[in-house]
Amino acid sequence: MSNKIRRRDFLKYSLAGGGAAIAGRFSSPLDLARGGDEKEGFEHPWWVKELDKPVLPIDDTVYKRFDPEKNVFGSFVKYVGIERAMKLRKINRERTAKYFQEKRPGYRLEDRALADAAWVLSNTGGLNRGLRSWTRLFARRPEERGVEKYQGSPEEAAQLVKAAARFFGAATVGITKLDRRHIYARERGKEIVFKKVDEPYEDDKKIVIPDKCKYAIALSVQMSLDNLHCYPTAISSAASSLGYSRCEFLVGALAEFIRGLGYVAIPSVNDLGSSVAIAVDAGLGELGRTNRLITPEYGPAVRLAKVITDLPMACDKPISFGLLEFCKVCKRCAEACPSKALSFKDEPDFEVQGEWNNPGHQAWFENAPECLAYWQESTSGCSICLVVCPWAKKDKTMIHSIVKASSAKFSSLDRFYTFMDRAFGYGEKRDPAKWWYLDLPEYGIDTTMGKE
Amino acid sequence: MKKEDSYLTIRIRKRPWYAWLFWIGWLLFVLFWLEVAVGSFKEYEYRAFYISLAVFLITLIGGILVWLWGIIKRGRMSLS
Repeated sequence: MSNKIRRRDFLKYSLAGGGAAIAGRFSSPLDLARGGDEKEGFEHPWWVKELDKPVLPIDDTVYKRFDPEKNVFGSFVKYVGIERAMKLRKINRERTAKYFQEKRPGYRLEDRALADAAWVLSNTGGLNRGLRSWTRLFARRPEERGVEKYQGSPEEAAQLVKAAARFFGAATVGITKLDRRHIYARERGKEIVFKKVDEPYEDDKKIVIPDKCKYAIALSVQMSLDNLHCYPTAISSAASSLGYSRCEFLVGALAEFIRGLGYVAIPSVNDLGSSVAIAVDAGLGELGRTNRLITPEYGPAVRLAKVITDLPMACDKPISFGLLEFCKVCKRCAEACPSKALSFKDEPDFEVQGEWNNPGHQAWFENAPECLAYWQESTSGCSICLVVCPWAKKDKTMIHSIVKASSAKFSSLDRFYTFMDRAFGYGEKRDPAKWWYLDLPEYGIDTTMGKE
Repeated sequence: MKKEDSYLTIRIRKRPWYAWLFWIGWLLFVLFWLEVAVGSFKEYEYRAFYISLAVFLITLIGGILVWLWGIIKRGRMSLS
């Protein structure tokens, strides 16, 4: 990634009086005139640094492939105990009925119907199912067209894949060499193995990924902040569901595109491996206090997906934008979390909170069962931590870009920015009844944000 | 018609450089907070909108008062 600045950023900072200083970042007047290089659409903002390794290190002696049976969804009852799980279920049922009866905004029939409907595409898929099929659905292979498979350089291939991913709905795209430790040890009771085979497949006992699949494409899709702000209701939950449905289409279409070029593609959303770990390696963002990805462009308001492939591509590097230092002092997510599931520690460490965390990497580990227990109590998920994060902004005013850029460069201002973020009322809950009357763009997101 | 009557004349008062710097700074500050107010309104961030609108209006009115005070002061000086 170059340090060149984009047209929109230039205008903003010029207006803010910093134009002269920033103009120095352009390598020539010609470069200034054309507003950066040709690949500007795939670049992070200029204040994002590339690194050789992710900011938070991995302990290679400990970090291993994770068994997703241990994650909080797979073992919730084991973690909270059968008695509490039953109690939570009862609370969930009673509150759902009560909220329906009261016609409480955010929990009414229309709100619930919206959240359920937004799952529609996601519910058709699963590991090697529906649009996430590991073999082609409709794509014609090059041999069927009477031509050889795609033979471009890795740089050209990366450019094509990124352009296609954007076209299919990705907010950001990154490419990395696949670290096999990010792939889960098993799925649906079957062992996931790498073998010297041409095509991926699964049988009764195992799921096989071809050895030659050495690349991972990390993808993010934006979630509607206007929905998330109505936390914790069905309206906010609809943002997540729609994010998953859009991921389903995105990975399905991108996999078909890669198959059309003559290569293997394994589309995946939350299945198969850790999307967060792959996204960190591919430079989509950094790991935040929530133990989730935070991107420089959209903060944590994204859903992640990935495609594993054998198409050789130029890889991206992990990034840093000062998030580690910011999260150390901010703690807004931890303070706002109603279940107190997020860490208040000043520094990230290797100490996991329980079996649901995969040990061997430095992070602020979360108490996931408490988080999920609150989902049960709220009857419709949560998402508070996503909204109160000062990096989650709609960027319709230049002040957000100035704050993000200066935080990335001068961490000494982080405490002041956190204070101001609170004072300005960012992250406050909004009335879910009013959501229905907002004049929102398609999918409730600004698809030009972070890309102009 | 006299020749001078065919033209509009803009007269700019001579000021020291630091006074120009102050007024340019004031203008940028006012425009910045106006942009923040408009952007916050578009984001449905109403508290941010009201705060930035207040900062914008206070700065705008403050600047206008300083400008008027200068005019009045100069008027008094020319009378005395």
